[in-house]
Amino acid sequence: MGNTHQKAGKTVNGFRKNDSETMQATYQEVYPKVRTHILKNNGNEDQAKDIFQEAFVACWRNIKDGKFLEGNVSGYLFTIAKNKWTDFLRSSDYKKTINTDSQSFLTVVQDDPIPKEDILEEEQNRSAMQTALSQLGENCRSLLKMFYFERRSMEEISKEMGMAPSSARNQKYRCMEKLRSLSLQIKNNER
Amino acid sequence: MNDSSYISQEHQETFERYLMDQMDDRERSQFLENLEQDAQLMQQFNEFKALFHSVEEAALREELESFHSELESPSKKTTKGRTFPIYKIAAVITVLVVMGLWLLYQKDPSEKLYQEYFTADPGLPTVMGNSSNYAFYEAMVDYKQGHYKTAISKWEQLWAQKKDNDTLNYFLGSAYLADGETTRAISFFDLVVENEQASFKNEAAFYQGLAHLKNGDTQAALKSLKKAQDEKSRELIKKLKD
Repeated sequence: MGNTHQKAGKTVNGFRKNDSETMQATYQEVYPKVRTHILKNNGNEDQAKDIFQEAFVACWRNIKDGKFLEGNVSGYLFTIAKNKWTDFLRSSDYKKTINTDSQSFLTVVQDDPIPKEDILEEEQNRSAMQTALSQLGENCRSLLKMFYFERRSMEEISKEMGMAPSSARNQKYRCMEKLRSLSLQIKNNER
Repeated sequence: MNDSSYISQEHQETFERYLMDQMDDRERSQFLENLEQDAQLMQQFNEFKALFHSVEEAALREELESFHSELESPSKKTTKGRTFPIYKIAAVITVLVVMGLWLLYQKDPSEKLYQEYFTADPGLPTVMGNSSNYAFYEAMVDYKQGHYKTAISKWEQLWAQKKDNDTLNYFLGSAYLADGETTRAISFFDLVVENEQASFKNEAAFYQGLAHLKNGDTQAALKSLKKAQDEKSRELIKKLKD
């Protein structure tokens, strides 16, 4: 009992730190179950993968935001995926597509069903930032990824990018400034 | 978000340290206290946090794709994950071979014949992708790697839906036999042998014969082997009769 508890704590911590090994192990453990569930319930391979990955991101985000502090991450992830699939089956997009093309509707899953005002706002912010990120230069993107996601040290990163640590540090600052202004622009254009 | 100018580098780095869990307890509580008292700082922090998470999320999504592709080709994973030195593997194999040979000469004649003739069916080539048979081939990969129990549990899930699929029945039998569960193997092979159209009919009869042989039941073995119309079975029948 104490052991499972410890293991659960380790997984939560691994997610918080973006630990690749922990996340991959969870992915490999939970995906087959989600896949079986979706295939049994009128879904196909592509849908299983999409729903599962959305659920994975949501699970990871909730851990980061402190909404999930301790407990069994795998069970939690499975529940999120299952609920997402239920939501999808109930959504109007699914009903619309039953008789037509059953492949092409996956892109809309995320925005459905119509969320509350504030959730919508949050979603818009998020998608503006993702667009901004895709417009950011390759250098910025990989620098930010190595530092924020992979959690590598500034020394290591500067070596890999072939620049002095101080200029890598400056560049990181400039990149975030640029990312912010780009996403503000994108958001303002949408309004 | 508002459009005012961006935070200072120092601010950014403080936010980063907080978000990356690099603050000690004292710094963290000091930082949280400052946030409480300074609405503007709070607003800047929330904005930065959202940007920070968006970078992380984009990277995570890339990572998920690579997790997924490793899921589809487990062979890549096994070559990467093993760190045993080659000589250790060689030593283990040698010990196993010696033990195997020793066992071979200890066993009664039918067991000996079984050992001589039995090599697990090599399985079908696995083509991964979005095939509807994904589940079947996923288990095939386990089977080929010798993970018979895993393969069995995956195939049995499929079996619940397709009890008369002779390919499935044949490989369930093969997996059970390779795993040493002869009785179960025999009943799965039965399903194939009884089906005149089954494409694995000969193979199933041959392996069913071997399974009986392993059980020490020569009569039943002969009966099964006679149903297989291939050279190997005829040869084995001859040896059994001698």
